[in-house]
Amino acid sequence: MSAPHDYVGDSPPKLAPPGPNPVYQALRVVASLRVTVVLFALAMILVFFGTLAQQHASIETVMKDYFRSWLTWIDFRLISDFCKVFVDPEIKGDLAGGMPFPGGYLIGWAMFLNLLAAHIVRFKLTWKRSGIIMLHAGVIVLLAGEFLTGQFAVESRMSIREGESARYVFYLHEHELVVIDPTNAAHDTVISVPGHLITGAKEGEWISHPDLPFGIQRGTYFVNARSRQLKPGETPLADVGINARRGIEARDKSKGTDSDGRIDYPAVSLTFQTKDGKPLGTYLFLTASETRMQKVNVDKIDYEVTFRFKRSYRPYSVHLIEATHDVYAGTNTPKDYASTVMIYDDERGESGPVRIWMNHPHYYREETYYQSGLNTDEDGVKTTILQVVENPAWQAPYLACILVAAGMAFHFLLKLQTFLRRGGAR
Amino acid sequence: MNTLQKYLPLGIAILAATMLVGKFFGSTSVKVNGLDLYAFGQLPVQHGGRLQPIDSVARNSLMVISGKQEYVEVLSDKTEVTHKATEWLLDVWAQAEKADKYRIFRIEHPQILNELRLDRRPGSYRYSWDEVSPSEKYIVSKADQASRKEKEQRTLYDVKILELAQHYKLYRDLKYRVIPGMLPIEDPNGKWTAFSDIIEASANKLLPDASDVAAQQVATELAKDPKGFILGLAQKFGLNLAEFERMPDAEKQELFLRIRSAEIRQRAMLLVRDKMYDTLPETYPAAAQMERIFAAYRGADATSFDAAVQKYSELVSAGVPASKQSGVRAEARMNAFDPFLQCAALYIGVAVLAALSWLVWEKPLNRAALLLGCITLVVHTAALATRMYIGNRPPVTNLYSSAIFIGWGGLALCLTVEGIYRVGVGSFVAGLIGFITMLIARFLSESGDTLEMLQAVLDTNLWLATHVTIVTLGYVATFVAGLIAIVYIVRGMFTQSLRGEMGKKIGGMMYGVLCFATLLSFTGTVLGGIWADQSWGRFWGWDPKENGAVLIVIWNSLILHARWGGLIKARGLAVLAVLGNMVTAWSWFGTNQLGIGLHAYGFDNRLAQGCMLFWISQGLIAMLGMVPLQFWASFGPATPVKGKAA
Repeated sequence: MSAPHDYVGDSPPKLAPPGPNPVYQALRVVASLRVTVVLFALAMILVFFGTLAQQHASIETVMKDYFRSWLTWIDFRLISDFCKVFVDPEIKGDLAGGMPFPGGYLIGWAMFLNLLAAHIVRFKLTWKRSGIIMLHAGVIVLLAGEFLTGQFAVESRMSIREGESARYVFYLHEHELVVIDPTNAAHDTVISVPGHLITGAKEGEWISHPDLPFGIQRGTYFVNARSRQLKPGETPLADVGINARRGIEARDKSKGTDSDGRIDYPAVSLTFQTKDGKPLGTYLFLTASETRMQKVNVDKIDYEVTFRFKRSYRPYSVHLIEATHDVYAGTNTPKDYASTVMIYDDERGESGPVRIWMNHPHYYREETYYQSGLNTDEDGVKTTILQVVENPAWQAPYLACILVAAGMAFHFLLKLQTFLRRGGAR
Repeated sequence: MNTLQKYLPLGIAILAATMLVGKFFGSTSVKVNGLDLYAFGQLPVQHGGRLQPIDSVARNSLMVISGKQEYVEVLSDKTEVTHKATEWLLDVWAQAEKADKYRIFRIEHPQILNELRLDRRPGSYRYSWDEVSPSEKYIVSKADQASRKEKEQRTLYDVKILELAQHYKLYRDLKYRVIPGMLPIEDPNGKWTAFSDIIEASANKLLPDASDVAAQQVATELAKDPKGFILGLAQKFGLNLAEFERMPDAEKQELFLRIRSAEIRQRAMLLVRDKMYDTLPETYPAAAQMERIFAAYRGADATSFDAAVQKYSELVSAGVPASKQSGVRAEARMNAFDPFLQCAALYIGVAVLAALSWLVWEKPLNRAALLLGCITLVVHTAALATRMYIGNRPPVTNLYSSAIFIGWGGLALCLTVEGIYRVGVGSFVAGLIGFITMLIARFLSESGDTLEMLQAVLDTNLWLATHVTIVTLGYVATFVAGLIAIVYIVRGMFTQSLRGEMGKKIGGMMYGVLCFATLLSFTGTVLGGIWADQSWGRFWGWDPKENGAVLIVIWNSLILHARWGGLIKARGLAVLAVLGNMVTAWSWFGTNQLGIGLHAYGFDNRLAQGCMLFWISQGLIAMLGMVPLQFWASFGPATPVKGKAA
């Protein structure tokens, strides 16, 4: 087993005689195991720095920047941070600079092409090689599944109080400014301004739209903030609305290395003026208190305005019958969370009751509901938080796992058998 | 082969086995002044959400508070008396005046010592309840301030004061018997009744009557000598008598009514306490029995102590299912025998015998190492199985148990390898990996209960049994390959022993184990993804721990593909496998450090620095492995060895 060779398996496959065909020549280069090894090394570096980066940024940000991108930037500051944790926390200063690096998509696709080329160049369907082919097919399914998940999967949350129903899910990383016109008695007219229009604007910049009853000027934006009491002598950000006498406490952005699954609640101060330029004052909106609507009066109409996690409505409602939260006897360590819900669908009628609990999700209309969290308010009423996921590629890892494990085990056993037949090590 | 060499392996094995058996049966005899403390220690209580012997509560609490599982009392004449944990807890309960003087609280921070007005005690830095408790209010309020801060904002002082407050509370709760749950009388949430619950329940029941009696008493005494009684009360409640006399009548009257009702309340509480102890045998027979145990302990009366413990055990066991009782007994037995300490010693023996076999008496010492390894496997397996039985869990549930399991898996894998190759390398690596993991486990057990309950999301035996177990076995195989690689590099560099067959054999071992490692780490990682998909609908979340696992998979695949591509041979394989140790250590311990490490001051960075030292050592070995082959003793030009025939 010590002779160098450039193929996967036992015996050298018979290669086509190297001819003048340039496509084949190129394919052979792409199929090289050297390329494979280099790609593995690049993947390791990417994953390692993508882990370190989570000391500063949330998993979602890192995922977008490092793993679901074509090109990324590795900041050398991560190296000095690494030394602070593992060598000495007293090390002062950060390394400056950084370097560009291939992102997850680039490395993933390169691996895919390398693998594909290798199997084209050396393809030989024999009993002995079937394990290897199977396991690499599994790897392709796995890579494809992760790519599709990155492209198409949508994660959201649904929050329901005990005894109440919810018709919408919300997205943890998208926000919207909502203006509700209550003049029509039959239904509210809702105008939604996507959060990225606000975060994309510069401080002091005006945003306007024909549908909006007033112009909006962006004030200060906080990635994560809570309301607090005013300090003596402090000027509040807002001069009107429910937060006109409140201060604001800016908090750190949540990070991937946090162990408690914190959520960022952004806040923004906005100044409004009527279309003919009459000032309406400055409001402070906190997503942490998104249910408290603020009134803005324009032309004798009281518009209700709030800044909230972006919502998406469903053609059905989920009613929470009961939420339970078990702890280990005599402790506060949670043992189990569970929600019992009924689903009332306008088209499909009602279904349930269904119990959703840890590791036991419920599938409904292309979406899967998972028990995610449980809060109890001061009155003892529980609110359940369900994670709602739509992922068209969810089966891919299962298939991949079966293919790879079976392929590996088959190949491994085949080798072991040969090894033992030759009399083992003696 | 002479007779000595022939019987050496068997002799060593018999010696080791005899010592183990002796230790096992001797460990249950824990007597102080003739009192059977082992019997007391194995009584069941409920603590931390599970049933456990009193002995475990004592050991883990003392460990958390003082950092040791025993208390060493230094007497005035400088002689040292060692108290076992159970004895310490008995002192806390039965003779508090003595226990409250034991110096067990570890306080090192200079500012805290100043604020508590305590002298520095270099060397031990330990202080007693009597020294700390006068500052209770101070500690609680400072800790409260610290706990309000976000984790990143806390200073070293904050961390230390929080720690002290936590230790203080633990001691106080034990002292007043708020914990553990003593009696198997469960509340609706399944919580056992603690002694403090009994006091509360008794007070609620007895207080109305006692208040009547006390009011009657006060009224009688007042009628007998009104002036003297009032003055007496005023004095008792610390009033200025002259001022009291000068007060206007209405005010005087109001104040008198206030102190009178305070007096009635106090008397009533005393009556309740006396009455409670009188009625305890009827209301809570087991609790009354526990008081008898304490009384016998105070009187150092061995006969009645043992009888009281026996009686208590009968009373309590009526309410506990037999299977749970045997779990509790097994745990007490395990605490006493300390199997992993025995294993640590055995592992040293295995490694030393195997290493010696490369120098002299190759065959007999090799066999001795293998035999001793098998004995170790029996002890380690039994201990692991007992832990699984007690917790009713698959083997790996926390970092501590992962260390125990990696040691076990390493031993099993290495013995298999040794069974095939019989060259001592397997035994040596087994001894090495076993000893190191036992050391790590001992270090990790300092944080308290190693059989703690699991957070909700982890509470799924199916996935713990599959994903966690397999991924940990992946760590095992990667480490074993890495350690074989170290043997390859060191022996190849400094001895000529790898010439010929031996080099090929060790190379083959490394390769085989690496293939196995790839299979296990891949399967384990993907199973983890499937668990995540079942739990929150995300197969792969790119979180630090997941990334750590995938790094092992990629690294092992890289090594194998480099080998298949002819980019490396046996030596290259060894160098890369040593680097694999670094990757595995990153995944096992390194990723956990990231979350707490960067911003938190005063976090325990011994683990982080341990990781760094390990990485540096592995890096150096890998560099050694990259020295050109002609400089290796085994691969350079052969030099004849003196006195050894070819």
